Amino acid sequence: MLRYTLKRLAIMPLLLWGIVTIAFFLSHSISSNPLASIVGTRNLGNADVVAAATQRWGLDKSLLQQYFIYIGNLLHGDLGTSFRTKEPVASDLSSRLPATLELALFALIIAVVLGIVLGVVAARNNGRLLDGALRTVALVGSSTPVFWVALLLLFVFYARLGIAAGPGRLSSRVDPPPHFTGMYTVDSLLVGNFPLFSDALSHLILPSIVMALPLLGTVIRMVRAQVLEEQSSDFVRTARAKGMTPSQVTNRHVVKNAITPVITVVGISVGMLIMGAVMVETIFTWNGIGTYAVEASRSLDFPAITGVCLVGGVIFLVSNLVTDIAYAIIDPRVRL
Amino acid sequence: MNPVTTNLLEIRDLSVVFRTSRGDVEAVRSASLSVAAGATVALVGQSGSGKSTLTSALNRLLAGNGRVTQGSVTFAGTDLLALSERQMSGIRGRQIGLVPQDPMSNLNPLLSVGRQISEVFTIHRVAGRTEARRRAIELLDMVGIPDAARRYGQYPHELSGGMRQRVLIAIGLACRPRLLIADEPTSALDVTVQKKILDELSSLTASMGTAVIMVTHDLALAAERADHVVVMNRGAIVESGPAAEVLKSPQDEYTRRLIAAAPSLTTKSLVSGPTEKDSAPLVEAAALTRDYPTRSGILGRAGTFRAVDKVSFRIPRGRTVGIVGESGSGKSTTARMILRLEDASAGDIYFRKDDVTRLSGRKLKSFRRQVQPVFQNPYAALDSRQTIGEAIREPLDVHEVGTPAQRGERVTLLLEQVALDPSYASRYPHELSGGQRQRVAIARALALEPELVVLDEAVSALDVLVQAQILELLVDLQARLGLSYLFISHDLAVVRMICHQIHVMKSGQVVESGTPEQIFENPQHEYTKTLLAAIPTGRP
Amino acid sequence: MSTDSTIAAGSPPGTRRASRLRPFLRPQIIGGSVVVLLWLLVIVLAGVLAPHDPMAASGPRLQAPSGAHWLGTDTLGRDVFSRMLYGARQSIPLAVLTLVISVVVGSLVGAIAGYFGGILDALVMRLADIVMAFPSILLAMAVTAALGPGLWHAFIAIVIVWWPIYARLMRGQVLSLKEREHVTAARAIGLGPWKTLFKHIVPHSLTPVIVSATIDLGTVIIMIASLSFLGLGALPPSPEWGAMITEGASNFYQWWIATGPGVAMVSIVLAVNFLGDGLRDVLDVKTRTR
Repeated sequence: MLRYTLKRLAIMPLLLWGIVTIAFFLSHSISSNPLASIVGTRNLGNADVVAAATQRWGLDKSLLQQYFIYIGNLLHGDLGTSFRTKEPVASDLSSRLPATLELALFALIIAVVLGIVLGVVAARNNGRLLDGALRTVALVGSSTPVFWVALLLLFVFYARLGIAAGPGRLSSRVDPPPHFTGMYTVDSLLVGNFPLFSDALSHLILPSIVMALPLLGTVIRMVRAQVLEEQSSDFVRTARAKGMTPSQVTNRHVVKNAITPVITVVGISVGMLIMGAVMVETIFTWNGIGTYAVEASRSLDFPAITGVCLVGGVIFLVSNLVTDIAYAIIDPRVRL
Repeated sequence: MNPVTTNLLEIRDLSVVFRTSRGDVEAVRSASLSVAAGATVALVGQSGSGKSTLTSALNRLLAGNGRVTQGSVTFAGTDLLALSERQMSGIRGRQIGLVPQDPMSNLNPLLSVGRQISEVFTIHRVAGRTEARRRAIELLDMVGIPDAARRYGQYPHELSGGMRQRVLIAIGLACRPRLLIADEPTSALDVTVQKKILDELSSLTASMGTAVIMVTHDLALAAERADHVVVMNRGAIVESGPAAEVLKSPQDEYTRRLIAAAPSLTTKSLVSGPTEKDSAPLVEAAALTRDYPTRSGILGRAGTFRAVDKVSFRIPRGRTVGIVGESGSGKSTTARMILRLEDASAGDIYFRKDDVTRLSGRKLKSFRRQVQPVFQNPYAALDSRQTIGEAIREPLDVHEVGTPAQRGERVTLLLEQVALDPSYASRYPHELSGGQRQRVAIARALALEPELVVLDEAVSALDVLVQAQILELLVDLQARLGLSYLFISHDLAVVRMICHQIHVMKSGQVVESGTPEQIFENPQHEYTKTLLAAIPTGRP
Repeated sequence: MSTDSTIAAGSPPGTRRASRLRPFLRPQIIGGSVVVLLWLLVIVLAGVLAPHDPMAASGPRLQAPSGAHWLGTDTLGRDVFSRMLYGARQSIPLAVLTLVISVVVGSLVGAIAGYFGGILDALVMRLADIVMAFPSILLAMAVTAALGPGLWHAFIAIVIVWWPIYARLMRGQVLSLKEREHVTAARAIGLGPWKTLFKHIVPHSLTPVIVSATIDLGTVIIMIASLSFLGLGALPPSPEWGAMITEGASNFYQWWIATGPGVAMVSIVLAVNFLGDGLRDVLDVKTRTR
């Protein structure tokens, strides 16, 4: 296991290098002029301003040179400076990452816990009305565009019914907690500020539900299918022949076996969550990596785009590694 | 009202129906059967005869689409079919144990084998956790698993097939049940392992006083192990009686055919004549070796595993050479090298004058024309998207033999040669039975008029009656077309029937070679003797 | 489980086709197909079905649904219902094209890599790994940022992200089929490697790829709309569903602007998913467990 983990960690930089390279060349292969977004259209006529900016961002060097400069800086932990915010990309990212992580973790917990429970319930009621209802809900969940559901839920629960908190991470005129992790729910608990905690939590509920929906649908469908498949396997019959009742068999033999492949799918679905984050953050004006990525793409902010891709890649690879290790712990057949 | 009986189990007029998309199928028809306390009853039949369904019905573990339509099952005076599901759960495992067929799929891969045994005690509340663990280890030891305490914590994939089957036996016998259903308990295992496990099973059940229903397709095995034999055919019980009697003087026509077809060491050979020494051999393999790279150890150092180790033999023209061995003996790898589907790591194969290991391009293509394979699995060997006609015709197309019209005629002729109606040409493989498919595979192999046909376990997946027909067909074709066969099998009795020359393989090496008479009547090597002793003879 | 080998024998040819079709006649598949067909009709007949010009104002701005405008009007007074119908012409054909290209490229690459193995396989699969490690929306955003917004750029972006999925799936299929006996038998009669691959392996591997692509169609429709929603796909005047929802988002209290395109998208995606799920159940294929 240790050897496998080390091996995976060792190839990770290679994959990340690939990502960075692709992202770099993609974002630099454009015809539009990034200068416009750096100095603003009004200053494009001003030769001095343009020259200074060109010099500062290395825009006069060849693409390959820019690439090597970028990689060289990257190795020192320098992701460059954002054209748009004029701040180092690394610090931009680290200030925005906690917000996204908080949202994504909540969504992940909702999707996985609820998904497994509902999936098992559906399988146990196979063919009955409840099963049909859950399957439909699951399919609708994974068929609806996140951004539209977000609007719909905001409109109904916030604008019309007034029972959910509005966009943003906190209500207006509420100050964020001191910075420890950057996740408001955690930080507010750390300082024991419970009103602040409940405010942060109430703002988290709607966006995390929206973000969880597609994954929730996938998990319900998959758990249900796996439970049904495991139920027809030979060892289940052997267990019945030992004198176990059907529900004993489901609890002791089927559920664990059915969940194992779901772990892998959840790991792969982190990409799906990131996609969700981009959309959900935009609608809920959540100041995270997702909105940062959208703003960067709109304003052709290369260093920021490349930086976001790198962070996305790291999250994806780390979650895959965690998935593999978790899988190996649960399934004794898998030797890493 | 139940009749008063002294029997442990009494099945009366039991019928089972499965609901399928093609309508209801009656899998068991008015079957009656009784088992006395402590007795062993063998339930014999070919696949699809309903023997497994019958035992599932008495254990009330039929698949969801199956139901009992009539009859009764009385176990120790209780009508099992009238019990509630909860009451039935109390009987399963505790009073009626089950040893299922396939040791690979019948254990939960995610739980340690020990827990899967101790579970039986905790479910029935006969022991607490620690006591259950102690007893499970004791059971592992009883079924012949060495170092039981350590094995307790191991997972199924860490155990060999034979070990896993022993674990399943331990589960079945955990609560010392009064009846044990053993469903083909050893058919997935090598013959030497089979013998050991069956010996252990019978001594254990004898010491516990447990009655056994042994489901098997092997008549000889049934006769050797059971007091009473029950023969099933197409869902009905056609014959039952004391084992020796059924085997010696079968009353039913089907049983007679079954006994006649079952190959055993006393069956007459289908071929005659010793190997002719004079003619030059068609194939000569010399010191054939095949290594596979392996990875092991913490540093992942590459090693090699020698699957075939310096194997030499010759195949004379018009004769059959057999290679027998258990799983992992390297016999199939040898066959694949002869077919040049796999490259030899060392050694030579001469086909006539050509060195097969060095063939390429056009010469390889012409070699392919002359050497054809027939594989074990009649379900996988044909492309499900091709019609039978297309499949047989394909080799002719590839080698552009004759005109298209001539090829069509040849397909008809080939189908007739393997005793299939030419109308089969337009059918698809899934419309044919296993035996028919194997005939198609043979026809396809013969299409190019090869000199050598490599038969890799070609009859092993077939029921005995079908197997006998295919063997006769092979012998007949050899006589008519002058074919040479390389016959790979794990089944000594079959090899004895069809081969002129036999090589016994173990762990990649040929340990003994000779004519059938030499090998079977006067085996020299210890391993050959063990193999021969392990074959069920039908004599208890 | 014991298998019954005798059932298969001889059914008359007339009933054979009917009985092969019968498993497909389940509510999921029928319902899904009906909705998909309806949308195909809309694509063809949008000009006839739409009551108003999708690009020009046909009434007062931001009007709630009424008899004249079933789904109200947008910020420029255009009819939302007509725009929704025309929107089908943008998203659906483009999503289908995206998938067709991805499937063709991916399967070819995967089949060849899987069958021939070696260095080619290693290279192609590492490339696929890299692309798949890239969160697809970010890659698509990077591509559209580089090429500039536009529906066709979104298309290119998604193809780049999507082909490795099918390459992997196909490769896995080919690897497992390669060792099947009927393939070995084909090699033994002297059939060349390319012919063996395309005659005896690829046709058997296509079912799971096609089923998987059907299931993915919904995701791709959503992805195209998502890019448009972010302003990276279709540009404003065009009646694309995602772009229409963006307009709805900025006119939050005029709920009808986003409702039409949202419901349209859900209906087609749901229909496609029902269809895909049904096909997967009937054809009993496993899509992407790993």
